[in-house]
Amino acid sequence: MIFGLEFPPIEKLVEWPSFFGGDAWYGLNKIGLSALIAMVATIAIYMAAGSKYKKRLVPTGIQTVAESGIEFIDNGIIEQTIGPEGRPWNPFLLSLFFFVLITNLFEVIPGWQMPGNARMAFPALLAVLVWVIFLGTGIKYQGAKYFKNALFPPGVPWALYFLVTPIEFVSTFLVRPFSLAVRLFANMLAGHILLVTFVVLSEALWIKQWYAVFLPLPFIMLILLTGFEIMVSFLQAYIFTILAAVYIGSSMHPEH
Amino acid sequence: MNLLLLAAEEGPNNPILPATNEIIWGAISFFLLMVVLTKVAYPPVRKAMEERTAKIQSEFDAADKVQAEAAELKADYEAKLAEAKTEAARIIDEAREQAEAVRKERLAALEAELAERKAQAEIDLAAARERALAETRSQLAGLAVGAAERIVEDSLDEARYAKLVDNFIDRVGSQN
Repeated sequence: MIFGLEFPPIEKLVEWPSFFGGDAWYGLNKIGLSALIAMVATIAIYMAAGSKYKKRLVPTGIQTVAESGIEFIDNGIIEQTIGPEGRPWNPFLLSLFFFVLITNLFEVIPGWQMPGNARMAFPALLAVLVWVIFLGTGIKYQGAKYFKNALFPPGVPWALYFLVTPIEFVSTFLVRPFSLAVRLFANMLAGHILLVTFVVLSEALWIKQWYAVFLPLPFIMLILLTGFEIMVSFLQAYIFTILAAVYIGSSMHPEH
Repeated sequence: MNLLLLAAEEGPNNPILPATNEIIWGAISFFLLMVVLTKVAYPPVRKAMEERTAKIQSEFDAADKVQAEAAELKADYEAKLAEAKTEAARIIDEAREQAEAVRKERLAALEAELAERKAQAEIDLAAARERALAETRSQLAGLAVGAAERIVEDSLDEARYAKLVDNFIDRVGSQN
């Protein structure tokens, strides 16, 4: 009870029962289903777009969506972080972007209203995957020198390595996946709680009392925040993808 | 109770820790998405985009080529036109010169002929006059001699006779 309000406990906001399977490892709930839908939707967009080119090369409708996704990854992410030689990463980064974006957008879809990334599962999974990939890329491109370049950046006086090397180790190999996961998770969870807060306030004012006249205030705020959260969904998907690209890029080129 | 046990006990209810079933479905979905997109769904779209870029580029190149050709053709045509104009001007000048030469030639011939005729006419005139004078002179002399013989009945000496004739001729000549 806060100021006479019944605010639901946090578990009630983010934990969803399984449609089947119960508490078993294969139990499918709202969160798991949002991942499946994100997968199916993204594949459907690209399959539908790809099949249309046989008729005409000029893009229309769904092709525009598919192509702008590819071009966004090319020009907005790869060009800025890896450079033109990073083009082969496009499908991976594209998967990452659409997966995060669509699971995020379930935050504002009426009747669903639960961002998949407000649970730690997807951010942690994707962050660990990115971690494995940028380590693997580093070893593939630079071999054992990757670790030497990462831990002992050239051009540093030798005495400073006592300071620099532990910092580099922690920041590159430990903090990167952790910050990647937590940034996405915390942003989406915060957004979700914010929306719930204004829903609870609006609901509490839906009464036959004189102070029901204040109902428009939280309700207008709720609408504005819903728009804001759509922006946040895009932004977080973009940030997650561009950071993954930055990490991969830094593994491909040794630090200067 | 140690911390690990506490965490394990709290596991499903701790909003910070990832739930196993959600990781499983997320992993299945994401790996499927990554594989299908990379292997199946992405390449045709990328290929079509690249084909379109290549097509547009080739069309631009072709248009540039056609334009260059047209410019070349135009320059060629203009050069030929200029050439034809100078040729025409040259021909006209030549014709004018020829005409002028012909005109001068004719004029000179005409003038020469005119002068010749004039000279001839003067010669004829002089001859006619000479003839007429001689004729008149002999006739007058005869007449005068006859008349004088008849009047005077005696013959004049040669000197007076010639003087008389000359005086007469002068008088007649001044009257002519």
